Amino acid sequence: MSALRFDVLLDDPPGFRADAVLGDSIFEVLIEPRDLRRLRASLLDIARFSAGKPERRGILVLADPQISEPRLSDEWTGARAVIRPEVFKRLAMVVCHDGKPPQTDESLTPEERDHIAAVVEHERGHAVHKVGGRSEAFFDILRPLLIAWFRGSGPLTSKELSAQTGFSYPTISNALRELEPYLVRHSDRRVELRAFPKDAWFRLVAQAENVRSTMAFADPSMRPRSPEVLLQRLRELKRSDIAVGGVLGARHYLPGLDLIGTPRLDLVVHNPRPGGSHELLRKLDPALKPAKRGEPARVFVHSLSRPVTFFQKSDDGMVWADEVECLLDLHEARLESQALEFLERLTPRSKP
Amino acid sequence: MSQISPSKVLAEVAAAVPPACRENVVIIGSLAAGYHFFQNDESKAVRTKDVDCVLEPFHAAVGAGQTITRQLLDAGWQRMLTGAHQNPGDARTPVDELPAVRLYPPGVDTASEEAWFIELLTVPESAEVGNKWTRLPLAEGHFGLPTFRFLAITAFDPLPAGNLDIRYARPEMMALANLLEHPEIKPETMSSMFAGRSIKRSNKDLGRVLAIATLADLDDYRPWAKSWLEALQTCFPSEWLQLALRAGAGLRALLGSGNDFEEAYHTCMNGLLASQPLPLEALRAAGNRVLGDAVETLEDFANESR
Repeated sequence: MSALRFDVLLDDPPGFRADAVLGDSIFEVLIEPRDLRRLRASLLDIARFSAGKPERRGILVLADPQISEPRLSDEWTGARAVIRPEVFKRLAMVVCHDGKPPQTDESLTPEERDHIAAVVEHERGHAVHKVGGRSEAFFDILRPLLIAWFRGSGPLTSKELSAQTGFSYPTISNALRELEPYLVRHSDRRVELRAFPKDAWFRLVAQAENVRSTMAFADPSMRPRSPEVLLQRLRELKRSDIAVGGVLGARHYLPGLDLIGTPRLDLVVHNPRPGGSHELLRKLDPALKPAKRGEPARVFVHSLSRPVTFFQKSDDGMVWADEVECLLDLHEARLESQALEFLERLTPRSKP
Repeated sequence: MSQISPSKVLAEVAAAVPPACRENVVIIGSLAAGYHFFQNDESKAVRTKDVDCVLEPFHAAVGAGQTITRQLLDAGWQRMLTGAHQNPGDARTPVDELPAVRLYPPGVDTASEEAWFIELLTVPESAEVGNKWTRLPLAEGHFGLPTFRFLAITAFDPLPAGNLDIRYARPEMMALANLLEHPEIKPETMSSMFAGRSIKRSNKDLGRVLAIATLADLDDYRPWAKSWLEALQTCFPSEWLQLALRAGAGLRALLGSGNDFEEAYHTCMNGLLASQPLPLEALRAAGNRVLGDAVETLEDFANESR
């Protein structure tokens, strides 16, 4: 597989910066395009690139276009009328809608098709650095409170919560108000949970995939590498920004967890850079590729963007995700009885 | 193509070769790969018709080739009579017009689908030598031993074939030789049909890399890069860096081309992987592992040495 490179400045056409390059193919990505002029300009860019050499190919990827399909079709037909046929046949337009498999052009090579998701992910990361909405902020504030409760590390001030989560006082204040029934407010204004906030938790579980920007990776080899092998390779990378969650993480906190085998590997990446997940997975097992919807996945990469990770490092160099991440992974893997067992063991016996 | 048992054929070849020459013989190709991976499984056969025997070292190749061919012909092995140059030449015949030594075992119906033959080759005389023929004079006339540039890699540090006294090529070295031979997908097709289809030689040889990787079934292919580096530095001391950096180009091209990859898949399913078929995407995954683990690690080694 050719290496996928992002944001590449090309000599030909001079000064042209491609969103991604894969061998002789370039990808131009438009996130939520609504402007036809921009679409036409991008089409012209990939056509100019492709006209330079007969082996070159240009792929325009439209992620969640705000332009209707008939209009897109008209634009494509219009482009066909003005671009030389020998160049046009090397162009492709791919439309991706969030959560659905991309509508790919049949002229794409399998390798190009495999990289669409990575290219879109990268460009999304650049286009809009995620700004958490109200509900995401609430969950991001809930999680450190839960960690503190599980670990028995005591009450927190709003300042500490702000430092841990990166949210402002008003946002934290709003979240705490929502959690009021489960909170103990101390006289020095520090707060902590008094009980497990069940409703909020299950809302978080329901939205965890989005809240954590989870990416799933499948192994089509029919000879999957075991999570233990992948873990060994992760350890070799000596990365402090990647932690192991899921079943393995839960077992780190609760060695007696009732589960035979390790059905999947969950990793939590702190402040992942665009495209970084794919590079990481390639280091663990180059056979892994983004899972299509409904395709069984073996590795899940969740992103964590708060300032404080709460990762734990063990003596053997392994970095572990916090208890909340592991618990969310168990739910996501539909290991409900193990999730319940894990939660029961984490729950403090008595609270003030 | 013949379905042959690697262990059986290797034993037959070893028994036919004069004991004094066995140390000069390295079996390469699909028979070597089949022997390595299936030697403990009698139920698995290899689809091939040629048993390639590389004679090495180069300075001993002609002597060993003469002794082996003499003994085989005297034992009733039959010459294969196909191709442009069938008749032995003489001292005036240009070396590249001499016939290769290709012999069927005694009593075999050479027209049979099951017939296999051995072919003698040699390693190159030096790192600078490319594809070349070496004259092999016999009583019947002059024959030729072909060599290919990367046969030295194929025959590097071969493995002993049990107690047969002959050796066979390491699978990872055959993989590297194929990678080096095809830094791009060349348009030339094979001289004969492959399981009913016309196939590009590059796709067949690069497909062999994927088949070997699949059969090796390793959790980690990075150790291959270390062995490859050693082989390249030994066989091509002045050129190894450039070769290491270009080793993955053909495989990348193959993985990036749907049609070429499908041809490679066809050769695997009708060749080394015939007894354990797998989906196309699984073969692609094997290719990605070789590329990501082995080729890119080799490139890292090379880049670090720059």
